[in-house]
Amino acid sequence: MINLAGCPTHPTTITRSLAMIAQGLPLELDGLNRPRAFYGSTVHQGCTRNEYHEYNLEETQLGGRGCLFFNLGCQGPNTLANCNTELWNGRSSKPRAGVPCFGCTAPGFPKDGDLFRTEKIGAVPVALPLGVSRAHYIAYKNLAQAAMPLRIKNRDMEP
Amino acid sequence: MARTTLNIDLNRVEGDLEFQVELEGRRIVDARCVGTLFRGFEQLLIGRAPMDGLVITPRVCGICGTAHLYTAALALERLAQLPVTPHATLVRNLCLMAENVQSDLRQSFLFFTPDFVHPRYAGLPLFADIESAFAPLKGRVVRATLAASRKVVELVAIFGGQWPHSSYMLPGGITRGATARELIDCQDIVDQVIRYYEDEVIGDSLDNWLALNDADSFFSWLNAAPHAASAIGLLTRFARRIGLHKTGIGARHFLSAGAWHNPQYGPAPASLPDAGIYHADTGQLDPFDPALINEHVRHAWYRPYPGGLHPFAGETVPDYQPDTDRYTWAKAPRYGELVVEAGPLAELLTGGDTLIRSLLACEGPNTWLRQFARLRRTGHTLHHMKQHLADLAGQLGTPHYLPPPADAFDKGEGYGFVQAARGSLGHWIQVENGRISRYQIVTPTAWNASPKDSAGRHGHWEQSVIGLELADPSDPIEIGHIVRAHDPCLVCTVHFVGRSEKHRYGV
Repeated sequence: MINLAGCPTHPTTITRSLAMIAQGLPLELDGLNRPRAFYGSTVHQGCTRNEYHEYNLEETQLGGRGCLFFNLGCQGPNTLANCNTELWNGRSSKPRAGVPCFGCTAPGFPKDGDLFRTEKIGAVPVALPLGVSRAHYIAYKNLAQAAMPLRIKNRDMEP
Repeated sequence: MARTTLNIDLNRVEGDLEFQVELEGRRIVDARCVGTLFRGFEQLLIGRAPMDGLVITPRVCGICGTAHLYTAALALERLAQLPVTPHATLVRNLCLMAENVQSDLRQSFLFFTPDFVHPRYAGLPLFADIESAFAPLKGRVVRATLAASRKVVELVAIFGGQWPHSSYMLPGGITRGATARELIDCQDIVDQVIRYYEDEVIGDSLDNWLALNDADSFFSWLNAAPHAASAIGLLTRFARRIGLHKTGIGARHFLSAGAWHNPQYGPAPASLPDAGIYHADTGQLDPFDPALINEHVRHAWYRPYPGGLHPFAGETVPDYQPDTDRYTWAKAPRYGELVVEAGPLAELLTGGDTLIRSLLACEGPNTWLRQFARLRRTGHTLHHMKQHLADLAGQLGTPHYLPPPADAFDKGEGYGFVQAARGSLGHWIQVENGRISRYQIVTPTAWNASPKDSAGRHGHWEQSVIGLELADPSDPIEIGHIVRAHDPCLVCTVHFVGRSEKHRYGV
């Protein structure tokens, strides 16, 4: 059983997976039976707001240029999909357009809590970037924020 | 004469639709339109945060999710009385227009015209041209349509990141504003789609097409060779040759909640200017009053209640009762006591397209006119898109999002309407203590696919097939033409299920 996950599933994922099967090419699957070829990178890889994420310029309101992970519910850093590697409609992705990733390739979609809000314990998100520990997250985010260049602080960079 | 029952599964529609018709001989004497799949979207929103509807309701439908997104945002804006800038409305309209164009082109040339390529018609003089244009996956028009419909939704990806299923319309505006650089890309996309429409669909310039203003001028226009050979020319000549201008009359009352939201509006307007109820028999246009909308469940698989309920008082409690006179998962929306039709024909009649009104006055509502109106509407939409892009150039750099106050959605009720591809779509939301307490959706297909109501009045599609004489009951292609001309979308309409085995025919 092969799981082509996503709501919707990326059209390229469907057509190329079927083509690979038809040609007898190997289609390696992950722990959720999703083909690694299409679910082997996080949505965060390739998001054009990456520098805002890096230096911790986290928006508290939608409609802006900065990162949506810390407050606005973006699940890109812990969701596996090809949205920002293969892009949608040949052009873009939700996070690039300022819409948080809602984690639609994982079994928990849609999550129980508010979809546009990042759940936290204290000041730290419950769902951290894939594999990153709480202590490390706090440490590197503080350092990164201190290193924030002015062009990021001023939101000069167009995602 | 013996009565027989046919169960017909319809493919090449969105979702799961079945028709049960009772025949006396070869004549349809009764019909039941059956939505066979229940998914429970209205229920799963209860208890969620108000903005979650922006993520969940687009997923009601794969082909019209932008319409649901826009409607959900409008309902929240009305609830909180939020202003929206012209910049945001122009972009929203452009994205909805792009989706509607995509849907109308796919419905026309991937869902509807394949029915022309049917062995029964092989002996007709036009058949070779029909096959060459419309054969599934191979026809010239089909292949051009695949490319054009894919191209047009790239405009949505520019503003929303992806099509389908993004959530870039927010109460208060949109997630990102337009830039000059993107405007150029949008113009290119629209110009390419217009070129396809002019070359393939109408065989003429958009301006000439939109200038046609009555039945006589259209039929004269149809005589010129490039027009006759165009997709709409071929479709018209063939459809009328097989009598589609004489079938599928239906309810004779048309409902439209309006077409495009005006970028200049402030807090949510009471009604769009071209909304109305158009009566075929008199040509009269009455104003549209959303308070008159009500839904019956007398013949649907829901917990019974008497009469019809307005969506603000509505409930959707599944109660599957097979082997009763209840037969569908679709409710029966009514406008007051009226059975109405929604769709592009309704939109153009209430909006005052004189060509369409003239054709209706000449021949009454019919299957060919319905499909024709859809493709006619595409021309209007492409023209509006060009105008919107010109207007958007003047709004660059202005605000695209006015953030709502923190407590904007704690409590209240709101509703919204848009003109989706298949007709007027409405959402009704009620919020208590910051959680959704009720969410009701009435889709255009709900109006059209409606079962009987508490007074036993058939819905529009049921009416449109009752009285039809089938040439061959084992191959009821006539029903396929009539129903598909409406562009059914059942995924939106049934708020899922078992089925019993009877004689089944695919159409």
